[in-house]
Amino acid sequence: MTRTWVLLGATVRRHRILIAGACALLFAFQVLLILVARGLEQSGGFAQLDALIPEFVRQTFNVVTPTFGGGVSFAYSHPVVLVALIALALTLGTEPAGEVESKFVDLLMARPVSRGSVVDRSAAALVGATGVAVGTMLLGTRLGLMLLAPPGAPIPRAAVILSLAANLALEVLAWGGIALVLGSLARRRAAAAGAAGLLTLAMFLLDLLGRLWEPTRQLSRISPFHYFSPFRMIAGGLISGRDAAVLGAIAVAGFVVARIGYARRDL
Amino acid sequence: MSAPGAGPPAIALSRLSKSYGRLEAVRDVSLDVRQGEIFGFLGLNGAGKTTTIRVLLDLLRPSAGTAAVFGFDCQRQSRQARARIGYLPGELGLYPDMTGEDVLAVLARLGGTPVRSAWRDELLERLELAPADLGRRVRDYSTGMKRKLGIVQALQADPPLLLLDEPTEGLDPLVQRALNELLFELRRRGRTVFMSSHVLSEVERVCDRIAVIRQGQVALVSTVAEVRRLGGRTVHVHLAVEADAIALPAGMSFVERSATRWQIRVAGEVGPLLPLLAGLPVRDLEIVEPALEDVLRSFYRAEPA
Repeated sequence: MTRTWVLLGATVRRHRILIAGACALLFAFQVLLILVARGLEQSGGFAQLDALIPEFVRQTFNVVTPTFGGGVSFAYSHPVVLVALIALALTLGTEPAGEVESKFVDLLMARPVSRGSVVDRSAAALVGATGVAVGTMLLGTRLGLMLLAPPGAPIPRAAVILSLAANLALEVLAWGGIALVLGSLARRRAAAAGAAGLLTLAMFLLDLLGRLWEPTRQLSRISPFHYFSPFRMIAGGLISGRDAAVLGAIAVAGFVVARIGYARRDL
Repeated sequence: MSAPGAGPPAIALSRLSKSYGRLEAVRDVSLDVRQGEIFGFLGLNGAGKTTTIRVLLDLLRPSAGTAAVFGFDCQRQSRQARARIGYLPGELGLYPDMTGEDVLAVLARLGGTPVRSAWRDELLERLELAPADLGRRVRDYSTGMKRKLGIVQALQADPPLLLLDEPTEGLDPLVQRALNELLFELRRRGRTVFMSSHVLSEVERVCDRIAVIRQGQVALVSTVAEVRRLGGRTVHVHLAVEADAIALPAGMSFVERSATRWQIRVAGEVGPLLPLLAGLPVRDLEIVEPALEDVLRSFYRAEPA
């Protein structure tokens, strides 16, 4: 356990700029979106926006009438946020492959370090960084609402924001688990991260297709994005237990497979 | 500290093989390295030296056979085995944004064995790595400085077994000498050194015994002195005037023969040659020990039996 902490400390030091940068970006993005939502609220822009949304988009994505609260909540499913957080997860999840590629693993494994510790370290880094990043987003939302919410505007319930944050964090951790599998089996970090990135894009498109085209709806269940349902929560719902369970299971399964694969491979 | 050779072998390889698909990188290698000796592991690039070392560290899993360090199986009791090893890789993988100090600190903490700061400082001083250099990022290090840092990280916990892969690569001659002196000192203190190299002059100076690995198989295990004997000595005979050739006894042969200079290769003792030279106008006589390189060249290149 002690060695896992030492490894984790080294990982955090190496990635501190990336993690801090992602957190700063996400914090600023929350505040910015609240600022934009305030502008739309004060100018009556939400009503105009509502008129522009085609009916099929409304039905496909469960889009409700845009409001200030909805605009604030939308920040938890915005593509910029998803891309930033998943990129962070892919970077941290593929660190084992980076260590093999750079041969730093030779120095690590010349010590009495268990192979499991290396994977545990990356999993802990993933959970920690995701928690800190999503926590920073929540802080941005809280501060933004305190300072920028127009008087009388409908503010989203805390439970909704927390549900959105939890669904987002689980989505990111699921992708982190997948990246960890690839990172634990590959010899090159770019290959692992590239494969994980392509898979993310493919699964995103599959989920989109499943929502738009009935015949692919069943198949789209294999996509982790199928279990990310922000618009239902933006409409006031809470995180679905099934979605949380599936995403959590993907993350845990990824961790277990990565641990087994890394223990058995040649380094 | 145990006497040299006492206790289980520092390294025991038994019928060790490692294949990558159809390529057999190491084939049926059996070898014992005694405690307290400096052992040279020689071979051309790609002969299987690094693969063998990586099996000892459990970085690679053998296809067949076993490897053990001080009696601990390198796969089943890998952590106990690795707790006794200091390793200098041939290709040092360091994160360029870490400082030398960070590298040593992280690796010391992962090693688990307390590092005596006096010993570490002595290593830094003897290898001419200034404390100020440790504060710099590795990206700013020269090749030689990285090598020195690699040596310090391997030695800082003073482990009983050192695995050094091409230890003097990139070091200047003065630091090479300092490292050799350090290795002699470690041997005196009962430490075992297993070093791979293709610099034969270095091996000749430092090692007690050597093994030659060729195409994944051990071609020779011997003391350095025995290897030299295998090559035979060369007797240079300088004559005052031209003389008729003599009939050489078995085990001796002319390497070169001019009017007043003869070179005779002698396998075994030189004694039987001396009475034959007694009647000749010999002006000078010189007996030259063979260079390890000359002897090993044949082991490097010959086809395995």
